[in-house]
Amino acid sequence: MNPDHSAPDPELDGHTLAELGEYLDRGRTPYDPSIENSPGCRLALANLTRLAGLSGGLLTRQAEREPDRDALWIAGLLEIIRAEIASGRDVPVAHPDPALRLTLTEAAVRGLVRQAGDTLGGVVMGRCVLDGDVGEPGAVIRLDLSCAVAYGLPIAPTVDWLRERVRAELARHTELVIGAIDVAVDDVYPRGGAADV
Amino acid sequence: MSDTELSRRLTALVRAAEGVTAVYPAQPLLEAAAGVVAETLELRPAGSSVDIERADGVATVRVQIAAADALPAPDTLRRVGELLRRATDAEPSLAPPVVIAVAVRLVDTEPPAR
Repeated sequence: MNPDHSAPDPELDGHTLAELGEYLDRGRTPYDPSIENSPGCRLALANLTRLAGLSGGLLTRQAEREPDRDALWIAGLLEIIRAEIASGRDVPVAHPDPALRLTLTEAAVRGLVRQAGDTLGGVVMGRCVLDGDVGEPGAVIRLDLSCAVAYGLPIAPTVDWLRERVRAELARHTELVIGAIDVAVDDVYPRGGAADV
Repeated sequence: MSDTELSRRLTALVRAAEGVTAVYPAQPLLEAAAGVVAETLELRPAGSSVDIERADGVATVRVQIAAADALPAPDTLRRVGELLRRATDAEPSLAPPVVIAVAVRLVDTEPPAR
């Protein structure tokens, strides 16, 4: 785990996560083509935008009560975001022409999962691991997810809803065969944080 | 037609395809610059993101895209791949076999800022 978000990242085309955070803080102005034209930066920006809404709400409410806990949690989420923008493995899409190689990157797939969870309302996605041979058409893939849930939400139905949403999103945008979706709820946060994202 | 001109033409074709919100070089500029600085940079003028590589009698055409969330990404991938196939089949400077590789780097829920 590398907590240094000021280090240039090849997956961010030479930018840093810290720079992207500052760019978001400026409302993505002035327009920076080296950021906006980088797929890694765009993936990270999408994740950071949702996290920014969460952290603003959470930190103002809980900073005095549990500053260390929140700082660690946010830092952990940032680290996951940074790790998950790496392109990773190729996820194939079938075509009858064998010389047409069509793929989604593993990072794009993880982005779909994260987007499905973070926009559910009351859920903040953590870890997202595709367990299995994603490069083998028809192979059954297990998803290993973690998330935080807003305080007061019933956990079991929320997790079921998350599974359903993730499964639908992957069925629409990939040809992966999804088996089990294991979800670990590893945190609970006050309402008004992620639910407002 | 030179590969640079062909790349520009194919890039424009991909960019205009339904479901495509952005087109990216298959090899990021920084990565390319680490290898062969001047040549690679020169080979990628603005507007030519489709990479054309010729090796061992095989031409490989590569591109990466952002796909709009509004359409299923596999449909967009097939559309782009087939567009490139038709264009390369009609291009006399590209003798078969031509391998076409299209990758979705992200599924876009928002249009690019500009």
